[in-house]
Amino acid sequence: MSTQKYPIKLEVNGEWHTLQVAAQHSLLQVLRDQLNLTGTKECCDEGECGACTVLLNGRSVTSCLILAVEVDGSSITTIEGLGQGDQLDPLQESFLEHGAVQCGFCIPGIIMSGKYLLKKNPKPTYEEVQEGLAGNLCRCAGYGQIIEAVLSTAEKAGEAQS
Amino acid sequence: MLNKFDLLVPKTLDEALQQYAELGSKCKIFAGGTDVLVSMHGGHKAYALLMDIKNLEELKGVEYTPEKGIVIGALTTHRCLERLPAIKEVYTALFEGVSQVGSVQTRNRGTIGGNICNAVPSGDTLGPLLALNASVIVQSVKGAREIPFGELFPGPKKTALKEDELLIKILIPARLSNSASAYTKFARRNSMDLALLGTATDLISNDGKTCDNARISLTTAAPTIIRARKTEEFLVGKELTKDVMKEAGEIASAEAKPRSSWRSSEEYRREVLKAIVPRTLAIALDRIQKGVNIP
Ligand SMILES: Cc1cc2nc3c(=O)[nH]c(=O)nc-3n(C[C@H](O)[C@H](O)[C@H](O)COP(=O)(O)OP(=O)(O)OC[C@H]3O[C@@H](n4cnc5c(N)ncnc54)[C@H](O)[C@@H]3O)c2cc1C
Repeated sequence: MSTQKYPIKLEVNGEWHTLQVAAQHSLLQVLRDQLNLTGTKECCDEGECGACTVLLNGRSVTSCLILAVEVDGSSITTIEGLGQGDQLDPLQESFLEHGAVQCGFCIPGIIMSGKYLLKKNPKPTYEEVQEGLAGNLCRCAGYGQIIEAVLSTAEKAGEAQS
Repeated sequence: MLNKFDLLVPKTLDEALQQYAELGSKCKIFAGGTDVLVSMHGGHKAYALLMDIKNLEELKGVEYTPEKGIVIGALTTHRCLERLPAIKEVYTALFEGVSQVGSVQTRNRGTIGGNICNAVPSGDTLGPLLALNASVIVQSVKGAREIPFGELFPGPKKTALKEDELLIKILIPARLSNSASAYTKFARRNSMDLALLGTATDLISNDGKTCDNARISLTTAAPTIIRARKTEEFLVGKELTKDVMKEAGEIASAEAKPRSSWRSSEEYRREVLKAIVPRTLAIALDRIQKGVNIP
């Protein structure tokens, strides 16, 4: 089999990168190993746990089930792309306020799913948050605080608007 | 981590069909990859050559007209379908299928064509599509042909597609105003679980009480998805009372051929069918009475 490398361009957190990748390299591997963006976690590698969730052209996906060559020319947002300097994203702040982070391993993926949910549905119900985060597992199992953190971010954003 | 493989990325359908005609089973097609890449994970399945068909325009897009029905490109993701009003409001059983595939992340990537071609009896779009009388258009270098959904699965994990054929699109006929459909996925949890059993119903009732016609599909109730034909025949012309629907569930349970697996026993599956077939019929009937599924 060939060891051919493919040139790809990716916009990651607002910055364009030109990379050489092999066909079998997942987007997750490229983010972590080539771009050193290790906030996105590697865990089950089968799309089950959601720890590797990123936004691909604005949509939440499990980056372990995507080949880097498939997404040539795409725009990716990882957890590192949310805050600005020392300023955390409101959803990240809310996770801290609610004590929603225990060991923290699953949190980057959960926050990316939360961002996608709030973009599509700015005023979700409790059940809609559960459904929106169903693809993300937390083995510390602090789901209650996690869901509250998402709901409260939505409420605050709503108040700021009215 | 995946084993090494080579990759083809055809830009046009002609190019893809040409390559597929030459390579056939030497080359594994993939669309969203949510089945293929998982199967390759950890060297489980080793394909030497993959063909990414995501760039083929002919496999994209959805067109709906109340008079003609809906045409869905094979590459359409579950998430895209789930968010289309025509799917939710008119082809409700299919909405209930696509919106229950895996997680949001799975649905953002997984395609309806991939779900069909993967051909597992638990596939969440299969039961709804069979009940809704769908058919598919497949194509090779030799030309295109239409396959009715009922003839698409000759055996477990098998489709009627030839070795050089790609699934191009899915057709579902126009809806009648006195009809409604519903799908029940029975699983241990609400998300991220495969169906232990499923049933979809497409019901026609002109007076909102009597069954004029019913198409009922059962998934994971036999080696492939099946129609519950005896149940359908029993229902025609009957008033859909609680007792009639209950009897329909018993007939469906008897005509199904579920097997025991580590997920559940045959006996349990037969009991579940007795519950979910009447439940799904009742939901469809309620939708007709409320007039919610009108095209
Ligand atoms: C975490 C997780 C949860 C899941 N949960 C569910 C669930 O609840 N319900 C469910 O039904 N499925 C589930 N799945 C399975 C999967 O997501 C779906 O079957 C999905 O629709 C597959 O689409 P895809 O585009 O990703 O297929 P791919 O993996 O790209 O392909 C699947 C198969 O179809 C063939 N194929 C694809 N497109 C074509 C085409 N146009 N012509 C010919 N052959 C083609 C491929 O060769 C392959 O054999 C889950 C998967 C994951 C990873």
